[in-house]
Amino acid sequence: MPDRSTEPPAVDEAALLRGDRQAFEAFVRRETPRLYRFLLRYLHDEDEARSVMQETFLQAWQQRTGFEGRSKFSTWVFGIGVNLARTALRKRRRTEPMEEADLDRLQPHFRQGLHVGRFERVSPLDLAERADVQQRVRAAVDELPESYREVVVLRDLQGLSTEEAAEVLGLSRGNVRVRLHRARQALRALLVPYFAATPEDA
Amino acid sequence: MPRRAMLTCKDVERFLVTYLDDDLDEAMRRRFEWHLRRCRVCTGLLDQYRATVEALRRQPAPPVPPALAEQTLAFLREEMDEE
Repeated sequence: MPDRSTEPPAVDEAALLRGDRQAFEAFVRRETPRLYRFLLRYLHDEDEARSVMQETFLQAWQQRTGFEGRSKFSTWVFGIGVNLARTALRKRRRTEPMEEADLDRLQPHFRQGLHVGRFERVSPLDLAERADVQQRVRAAVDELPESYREVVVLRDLQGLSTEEAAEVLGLSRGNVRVRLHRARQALRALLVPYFAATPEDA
Repeated sequence: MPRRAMLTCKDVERFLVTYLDDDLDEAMRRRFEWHLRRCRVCTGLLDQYRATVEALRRQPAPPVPPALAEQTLAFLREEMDEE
């Protein structure tokens, strides 16, 4: 039986950048699961995720001499994927996402530096496993304005670090954190009622 | 009581991401935690915030079709051969 815990073979990035097709193929094999999952989480359409992924790899190959080595090659390729996914999404956006003003309303409010609201404690133990919560989380993420949704998908769903997300999106780390924070606060406000509810009355 | 002024709830809220990224400098982290120990409102908010992040992180990963990488490579080889 094959050992499924074995890491895929290392990719010779220097060879890839020189135009070695075998090295590129190894890279495609290694990166396909991550890139596809990201695109599917972002686009929610298997055919579209597949076709955007193919185009991403193709562009990465064709534009490899433009890679300046300021991040990992795979991060740079993810950046191409995000751009192509944005374009694909704009062509067919069905529901309008929230606007900045909606996001503002969902942030905590302060008077003289103190919270105006109160926040009940929640017990997150098995909450994240509940199917109704998972569905609600996904719907709430989809409501976010695009520039916030991108950050949440990369950072919290895909598990990239703040640094990596910043490189993929071409933003500063500070900027990623500001967006991530506003997005998480909005999601918190939207989701807390579901966290508190039992599955029956959710 | 630390010598510097206590952080306000608003300050604490602003530093949440950096705190959870474990990227606050030592002095700031102490002031942050000092506030948290004394403020039930901020503790409640942090709790909800953490639950939200946890729910996001535990979203199930979409399945990847087993033949996807090979199909992608077939597409790429065709395109690259045309170059």
